[in-house]
Amino acid sequence: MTTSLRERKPDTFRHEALVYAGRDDFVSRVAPFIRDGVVADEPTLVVVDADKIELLRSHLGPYAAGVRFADMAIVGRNPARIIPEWRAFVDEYAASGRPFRGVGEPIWAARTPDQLVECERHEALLNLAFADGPAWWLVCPYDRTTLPPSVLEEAERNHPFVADNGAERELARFRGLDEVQKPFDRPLPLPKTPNYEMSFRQADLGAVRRFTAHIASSLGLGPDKVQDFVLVVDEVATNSIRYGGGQGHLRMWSNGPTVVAEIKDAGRIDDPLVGRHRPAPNQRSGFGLWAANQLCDLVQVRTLAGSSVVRLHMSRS
Amino acid sequence: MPRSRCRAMSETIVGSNDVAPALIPPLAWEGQSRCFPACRFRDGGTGYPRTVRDRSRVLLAGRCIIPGTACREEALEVSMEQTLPRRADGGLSSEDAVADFSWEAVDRLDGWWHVLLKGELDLSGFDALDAALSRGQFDGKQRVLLDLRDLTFMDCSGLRAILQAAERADALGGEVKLIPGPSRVQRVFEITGVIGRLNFAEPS
Repeated sequence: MTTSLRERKPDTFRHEALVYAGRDDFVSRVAPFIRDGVVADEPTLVVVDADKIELLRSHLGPYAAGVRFADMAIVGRNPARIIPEWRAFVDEYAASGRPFRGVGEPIWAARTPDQLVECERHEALLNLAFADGPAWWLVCPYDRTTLPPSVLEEAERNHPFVADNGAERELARFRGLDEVQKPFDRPLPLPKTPNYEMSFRQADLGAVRRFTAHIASSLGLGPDKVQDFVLVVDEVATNSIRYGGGQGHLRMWSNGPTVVAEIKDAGRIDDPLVGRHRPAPNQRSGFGLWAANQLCDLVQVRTLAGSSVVRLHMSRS
Repeated sequence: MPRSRCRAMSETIVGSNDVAPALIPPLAWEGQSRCFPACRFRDGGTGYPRTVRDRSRVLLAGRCIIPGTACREEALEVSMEQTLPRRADGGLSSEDAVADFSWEAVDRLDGWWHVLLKGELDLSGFDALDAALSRGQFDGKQRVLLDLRDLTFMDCSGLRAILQAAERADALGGEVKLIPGPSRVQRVFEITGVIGRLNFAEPS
């Protein structure tokens, strides 16, 4: 268990948390992992913030030319958009038979509590999303100097492998795929501001759209965002009508810089990766939560006792 | 006029919501073609005006058909009126019809049917459009030009109706082309990644 991070090669998907201490430690541990991939001719995708991309580029020098970089602030603004990015990368190289590797840092100190919960859910779902796929190696850096201990503990539960301070721990606290597959029932915080609500059935979909447009606009969303928000609320409400018992209940409120819409119905959401599958070429339905994830800044999906809840967050800026 | 009707409706809402009435100023409704539903707020409930439904009409070779009835073209306005529910305040106009979905088809006599989709294409519109494009006059063997320019809204239900029509045409020897709609409609094709599966034509 003391083998260094650099020497081990995965034979299946290896999802590993790398706990580091500040920028210097980040670059001194992540850059060699990337460089080894480049030297071994392994396709490598690095999704971290723009500042760290520059840092890695300057440290890697000529090796950076063989690396694909993406800004996590953009890709992971809504963390539910990250798995499709990795999926596209994996699909690109799965058939080649070559190993490949990635670095992804979805969690940083400035994440809001709601974002953090969804980022952690994303980390858990990565294990499920790539469990049956080809062998590749994904390292997720966590900054021990800025993140609270509870976040680091959760990282250990969401990664089968953890590299911390030169030592590796394997499967020590990983929650396991069975738990990841269970319905996600983490409670959602109660809204703090007055909320506006209406119940709906199929005949009320137009009313749902006008309600959403008016409240969202009153709460300060600009016209383009109102238009997008109307579409995603309509999509999720349509899911309630089709799969959630024919009716649902919509609530909207303001939460700091975001406007939130929550749709609750009597349905049950069974696919833990719902909204994270890029629509297949022959697909005719199941677009709703995919669209929601593309247009919203955060989407929270819960299956609770006897009901399912989808919360859609749209930032004013 | 929309103004008076809408003010009446929005007053209902404000009256039932003493939490933050300032957020719902009655004047916000001026100029809007559709009234706000009477929504239920934290402190009590009201109902909704009935939603206008089942008004999809088919214009074929100069004959107008409202589903479930058969009427002459000159009777169109009257029939539309009669199928619209009246609200409690007596307000009713064809403006209400604009918001919901309807379509009409014209034989261009060059082998193509020009099918103009109007209003808001959602789950209810799906039922109407899918039925029209799979049973009735169109059964997948025709060449159909779906004109999306008059759609004011489309969601993934509408997308599904269009995809099914295109697949049926592929299987049965017909053809479906689309005239692109406004940006909010095109956005649905883009974010779902299906835009490459469909055949968009230039308006002619």
